[in-house]
Amino acid sequence: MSQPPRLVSRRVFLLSSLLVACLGWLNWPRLQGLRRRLRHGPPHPLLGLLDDPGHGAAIGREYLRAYADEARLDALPGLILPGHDAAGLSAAELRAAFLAQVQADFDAGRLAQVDGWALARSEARLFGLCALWQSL
Amino acid sequence: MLIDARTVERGTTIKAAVCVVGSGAAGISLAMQFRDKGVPVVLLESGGLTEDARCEALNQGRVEGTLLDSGFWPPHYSAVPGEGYLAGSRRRYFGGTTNAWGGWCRPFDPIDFAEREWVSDSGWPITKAELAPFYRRAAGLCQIKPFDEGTYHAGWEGRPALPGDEMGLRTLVVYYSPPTRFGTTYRSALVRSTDVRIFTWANVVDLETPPQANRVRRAKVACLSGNSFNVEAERFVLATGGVENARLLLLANKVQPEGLGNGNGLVGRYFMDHAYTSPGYFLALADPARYGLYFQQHEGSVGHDTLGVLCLDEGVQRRHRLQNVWIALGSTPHLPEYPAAPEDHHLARAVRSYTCAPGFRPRLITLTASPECSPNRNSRVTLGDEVDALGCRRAKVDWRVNEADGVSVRQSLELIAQALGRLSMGRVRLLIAEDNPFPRGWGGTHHSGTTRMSRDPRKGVVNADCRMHQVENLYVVGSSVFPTLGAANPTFTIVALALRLADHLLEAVKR
Repeated sequence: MSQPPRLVSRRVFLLSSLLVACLGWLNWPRLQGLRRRLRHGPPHPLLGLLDDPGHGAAIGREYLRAYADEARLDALPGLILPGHDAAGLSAAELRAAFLAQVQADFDAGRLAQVDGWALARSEARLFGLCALWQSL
Repeated sequence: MLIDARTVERGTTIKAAVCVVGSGAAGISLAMQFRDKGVPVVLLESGGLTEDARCEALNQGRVEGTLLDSGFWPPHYSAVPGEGYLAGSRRRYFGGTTNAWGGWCRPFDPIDFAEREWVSDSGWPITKAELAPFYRRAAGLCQIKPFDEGTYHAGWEGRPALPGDEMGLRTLVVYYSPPTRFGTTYRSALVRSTDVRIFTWANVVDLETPPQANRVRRAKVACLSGNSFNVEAERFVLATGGVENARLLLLANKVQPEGLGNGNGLVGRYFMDHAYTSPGYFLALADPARYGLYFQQHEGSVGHDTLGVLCLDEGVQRRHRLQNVWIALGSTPHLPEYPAAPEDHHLARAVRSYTCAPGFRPRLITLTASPECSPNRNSRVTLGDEVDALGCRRAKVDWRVNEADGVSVRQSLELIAQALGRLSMGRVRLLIAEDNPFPRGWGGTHHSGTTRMSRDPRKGVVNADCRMHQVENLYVVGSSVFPTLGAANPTFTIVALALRLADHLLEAVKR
């Protein structure tokens, strides 16, 4: 009895698997993002303020340790930009509104020290939001 | 006239109108004013014209104190805490410690002279305005150009300062002396003078007084070679530095066991220094060209170089009850440029996303703080048990700072961090903790305060004219008379005070 013809050779199968694994490893954050997006919907528009929210998250984890009561994905955006609907703003409008909020924080002395860095409370919260999103 | 004290006949008594002990910034500045005035002056220098190991060894002493206990110590001095703080930082040859001077010149700020209720034992008996004419003259001796006498600056010769703000962030400019080595720069002028006799290798080991100890009869001089002689003068001036001035008075204890002029127990107390520290980092989010003033730039033109440092204005210091502090951007002299923050620096990468133009690389700058350390009665110079090669007890320094000093640095930096953020200049990282207010610190070796100046004899060793309250013909000049130290380097003020004393003495001699 003759064997059925193979669709792919073993060698091709192994190489393809390795390639997929490598691509996955290289794009792990992106894959994670995709997973989060599928599970929790699109990221909050505020996260678009950062080129790479991963850097914000690294700081934000420290912030959330100090301000654990703010570690809520539903509440934190409202604390970052009170009085604004971030989803209704263009990228430029959102950036301008956020910078104004940062300025107002520095003016009023609303600072948070995160790993020693004296940050405007809003930007520290933004980094906290990054950390929360990444932890999903 | 230059005389080698080792060649003076043993037991001789030299006579002068004024005997100045010490040929550092203060002693030489003073002696220079007596040239061609017809007043015979003797200037005594412990060492020769160049460095000599045996003579420098006379500077050795013992150092202890709370800063040492907390791990604060400059590793570049020595691996052994305290070693080098006295011997390595001072020089005993003609020109004194100007032979190792960094050249930073800056008058004290008006608030440095003020009595501040939140700074214990603060307040000079003279004001900045009274010292201002002498600062102008000091600029000449220190070979800096005439300087801007304003306290704060918006820039300097085309290099803009960071914008000041209503929260009190200010820039002040420090001027660089070449630095002037007073010994080599002014030696020939002094040697040519017929009024000034310089004795090298001449160590004062005692100040002899009558039984009332109310005046100095003669200074007993000893050489390491074994020779000895006396100097008699109408007036004596101690100009040997913040440690030695006190030590000499404490050593002169044959009549007054607690030390000459020390009836109130103040000689040697209130020792101060600048507890320099690296209190954090500055992540600069603006164009580096805006920080040009804050580089330590040496442009090659004598007396023309400057450095900008950040501070808080007097109003803010008063409102927040802070002591003066300078914050310098950068701790490395001659840094060619501020280094860009590494690409994996999370905060730099995050903040630049929304504050900077695409492609901008924020700079990461180490901060250096020069804080005013407030007077502390228990911080003091005393005589140790060891003796030097001349048989004199060595100095023992117990340097203590007040808890408020560290609190003040931290609060000042927090306010500066807020102001820099407010101005969109960058973000500051504070590395100072409540239990470690002076991390990674080192002493400025600006030994000060040990013969402090006060109108009240119960609160000071010398009066506003630098004359000792209890010894009518003995004057002390140098940083030892500073009641408070401010944040500025002391040499410029030492020279200004010496010039002021010279005018006073010339007037007194005429009478």
